[in-house]
Amino acid sequence: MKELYILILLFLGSNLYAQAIRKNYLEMTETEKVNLVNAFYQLRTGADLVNDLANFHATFFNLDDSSNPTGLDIHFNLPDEPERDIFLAWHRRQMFEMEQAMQKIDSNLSLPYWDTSMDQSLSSPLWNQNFLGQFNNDWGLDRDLGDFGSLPTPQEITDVQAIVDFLVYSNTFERGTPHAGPHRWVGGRMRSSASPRDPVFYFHHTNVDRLWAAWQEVNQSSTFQRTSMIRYDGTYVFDGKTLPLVNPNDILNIRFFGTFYAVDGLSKLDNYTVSNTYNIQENFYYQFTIQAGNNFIIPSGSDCKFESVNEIILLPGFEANIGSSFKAVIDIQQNNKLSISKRGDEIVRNRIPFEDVGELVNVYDKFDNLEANIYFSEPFPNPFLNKITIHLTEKINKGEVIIYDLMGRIIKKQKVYKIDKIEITNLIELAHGIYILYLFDENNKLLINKKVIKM
Amino acid sequence: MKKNILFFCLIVYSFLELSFHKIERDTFQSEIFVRIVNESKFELTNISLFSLKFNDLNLYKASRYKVLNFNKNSDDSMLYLTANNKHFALYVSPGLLNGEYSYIIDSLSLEKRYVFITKIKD
Repeated sequence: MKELYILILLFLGSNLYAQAIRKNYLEMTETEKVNLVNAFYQLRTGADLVNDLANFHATFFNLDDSSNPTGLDIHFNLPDEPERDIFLAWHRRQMFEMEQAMQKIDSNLSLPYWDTSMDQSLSSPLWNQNFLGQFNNDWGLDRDLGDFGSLPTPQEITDVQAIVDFLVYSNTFERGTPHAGPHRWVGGRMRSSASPRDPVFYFHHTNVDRLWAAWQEVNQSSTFQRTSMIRYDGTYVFDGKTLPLVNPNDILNIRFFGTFYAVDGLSKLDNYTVSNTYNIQENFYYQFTIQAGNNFIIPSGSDCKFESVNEIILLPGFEANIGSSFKAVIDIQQNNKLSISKRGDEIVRNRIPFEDVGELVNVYDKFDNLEANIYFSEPFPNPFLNKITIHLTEKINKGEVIIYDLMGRIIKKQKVYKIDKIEITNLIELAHGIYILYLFDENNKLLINKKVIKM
Repeated sequence: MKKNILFFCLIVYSFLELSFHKIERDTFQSEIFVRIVNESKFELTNISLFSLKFNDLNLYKASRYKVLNFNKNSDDSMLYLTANNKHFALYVSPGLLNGEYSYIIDSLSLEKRYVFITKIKD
């Protein structure tokens, strides 16, 4: 008879091992959110994995129209090019690379997902300044939320998930709104081939991966002709270490990485044998219900821990064999706000834009040399929250609006063409304070110079 | 009897006339023209918009308009180009209404790997 060891602990000690449950970011604890943000900032120091992954993604995005059209790439290969298709598997491995790097910083972290068909508000907690909103200014991401295209509807997700043929599924998913929509909708770096520079890229592609995992559970028919992937071909070196060769057909089941997706307050752990391949201890941490059973095996010699803030349920089919190490833990520290604030202070969040902010401009010099203000209405509303509108008494053929902060840094640039009404939008993420708005005409003549206040 | 035949012919003619106009409108709706305007400081090569290939563009030059018949299942909703030996790609959306659209390449950031564009309906 197999013996089951269950140890219920009421205190969470320090955790040195890696987390295996990916969840909607809305289901993260406040501590998890703080630590995740800290980890992104920390990854930009030293070898800078964020930038390395972005540059690689940009370089090999799609080579069809390049000088090397037969080179292996990542995106937009068609169903009749199965020898080139790699989109879903490559990004699955990319998410895992990022997640592993984060877990070296904080073992309790996993990449969360953004459910883009359900979570579409400009005021979503996702964009909160304490969460991903802060990266827009700190990393110079130039997001334009909602300006370019739409996010996928639930029906669009249902439709793509109903496709049976794998290559058609992958192609439709990639080209359609379920994948491309959030890239366009977020704007800025997310619209470009260097999109992994925006942390929300990882939230979006974890969601893409979650949907593929759900599709694979039903269809079991994903397959790739390629047996290795660029970057994961056993030759690429990052930070002095050669990344392993990965056969995309080995990672068709997300459990290969020991990873599970939690949905709507429930993390179902099943059909999995703990192997400690990637982690000395496999740690399943979730704020809500962890339910394990149906052939979830912890064999002799393996090490596994379940940890929930609320509930752990063990069902028939769950086995912890003799000689294994298994703990089930209730985390009672989550409501300790003092602890949370301390953890938030652990890492300095440096502002690290991907490019210099540009030549600093002495704002006050220009302010003193105003051109005659004959072309415009007062910017309104002022103070503003998300949008500034300016009416011109004459249509200008071409011009450019530039908003500076008081340090002379360019905060936003916007070209205008043949209009008599200028609308500058997506300003909600700007920090409270005073900004200077300039409008130049096509001859670089200053037409408008106004102080505007962000509420 | 003649009246009936005449009436029948009139109905058939009206049906054909309506169908013809509908076909015309559908065809017209699909006539979207796109071009690239290079206002960046770089010579642009390997230019592709919605999987339409464009000739290389020198500084401050515009391409000719091309008819866009976008197939969402096989065409890339992307702008691709090369400048300074670097590849750039940007997610874009085709115009929904018929007409002529200019995709103006305002500038390129080589370090950010970003294309700054403005899309205008001419």
